[in-house]
Amino acid sequence: MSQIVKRAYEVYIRTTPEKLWDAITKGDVTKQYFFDGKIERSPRAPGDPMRYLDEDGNVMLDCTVIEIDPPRKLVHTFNGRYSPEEDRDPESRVTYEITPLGDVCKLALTHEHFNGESKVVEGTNRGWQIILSGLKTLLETGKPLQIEWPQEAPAS
Amino acid sequence: MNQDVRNIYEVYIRTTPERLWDAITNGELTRQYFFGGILEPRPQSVGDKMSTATSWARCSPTVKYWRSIHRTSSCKRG
Repeated sequence: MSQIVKRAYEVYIRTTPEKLWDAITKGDVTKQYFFDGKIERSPRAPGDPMRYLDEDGNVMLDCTVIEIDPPRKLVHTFNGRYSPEEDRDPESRVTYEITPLGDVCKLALTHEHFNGESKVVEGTNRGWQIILSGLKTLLETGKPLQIEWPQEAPAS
Repeated sequence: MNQDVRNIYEVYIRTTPERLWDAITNGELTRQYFFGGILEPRPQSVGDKMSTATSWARCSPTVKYWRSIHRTSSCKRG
């Protein structure tokens, strides 16, 4: 099982590259759309840690910057720490690319998993669609999305 | 070549089911986000045709882009 699985997302947001960059890299903004996860310290250089903390200060994601070119491109490792089981998942990689198109920015996000299909791939796939919807709504309206989930977990 | 290919998209929108339904089925609204395509007539029942009329004459940059990603001919049809 060494097959690379790549999931690619594109979202078009009415904003500037600078505002979008801030929304991706500043904890005060990420906590409004990234499952309450707050980036501990904004990343500046390759090798910087990029940790997302939950409301209690526990580490949700433990990432490291691979490439950073504000406000255009950010590549980081991705290590889920949100459940003990997922602690054992191998490291994956996330790439953000911002392309300005007039008043709009295209945000391309790619998540590369290096161990083939798994529950984690499907879980993060669902997660990114929620995160990207929340990011777009926040930037375009100034108000975070408040999603009211059904009692039962959605079918996978 | 009869392999099924299925691409699945999810988007979360702050709206009501009724307003979202209207946005998907009302031509005046589709025109504003569906590459200029005006859905007409509004679908009402199974078997109804669902086609979008596009004003090629006005052919906006967005519609030109749409045609280019589908590798169709350039924007000059009447």
